[in-house]
Amino acid sequence: MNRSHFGHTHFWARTMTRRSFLGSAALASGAAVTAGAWLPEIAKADFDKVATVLPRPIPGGVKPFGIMIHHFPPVPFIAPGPINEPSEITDFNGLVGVCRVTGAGTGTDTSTGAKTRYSYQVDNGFMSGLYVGEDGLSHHGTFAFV
Amino acid sequence: MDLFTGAVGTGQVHDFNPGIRESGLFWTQPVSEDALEVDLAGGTATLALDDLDEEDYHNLLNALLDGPSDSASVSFEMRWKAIAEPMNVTDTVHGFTGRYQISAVQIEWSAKAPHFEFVSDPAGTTTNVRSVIGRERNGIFFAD
Repeated sequence: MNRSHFGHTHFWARTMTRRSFLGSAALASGAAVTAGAWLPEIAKADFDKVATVLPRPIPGGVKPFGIMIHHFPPVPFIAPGPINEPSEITDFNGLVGVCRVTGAGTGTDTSTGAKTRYSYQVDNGFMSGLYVGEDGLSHHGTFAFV
Repeated sequence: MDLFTGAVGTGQVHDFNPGIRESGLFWTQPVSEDALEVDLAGGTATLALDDLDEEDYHNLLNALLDGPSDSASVSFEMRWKAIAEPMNVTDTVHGFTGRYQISAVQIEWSAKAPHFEFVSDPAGTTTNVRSVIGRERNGIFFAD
């Protein structure tokens, strides 16, 4: 099976289009600090410190269900350890955090009002700093792993 | 962010994530830098996001196969607090190096999907399994 086209286009479209018209160069070059001097009004309104160029995935990963994913879960440890690669993105130099936590909470069927208890597992994280984007250029950005 | 009707790993009914990018970028999405506060010297970090666009794939296998999903959103505030001294790690097998601290995380979160809402119990009830914060380099920056 060809797994090179994963990812719902509509998700990425609605995530990126609100900001992508700014282009990558402004953020990449550090022009953000002087953006007000040259950006048109419509652009300034949307200039909210969100990366406009996506990073690239780490080359390695694991194969749950035999499916290669470019991700290492926080556990179990994979040699040599003592931690697994916490970043999802490659060509990266910056701050990183990752976690696996569990807990519980309450779900509500908003159609009926019925409430149900659930357990949860959350593997979340962040990466913030310098990275090489899909365009091959250097950028600064902050990303959530969800 | 996964929900189960039974114990964790049993009876998964919701799987909130942004999907896998065509490049292979895994469940990673850009957020405002204002969402993140990090104080490595103090061993803390906070990531707080409100109404973040996600997909609900309902279970892990369906998510990995990019099967049918529903538009959803999540909100969360999660706090890392270091529980061990900083350690330098260089992994030449996987190509990353950095200085990290094993941490504990507490999270309070909620989710919305069609006809469904979820609210976690208070952050203080979180069970930490494994968490890390730090600064690292990988890829072309590995050898810097």
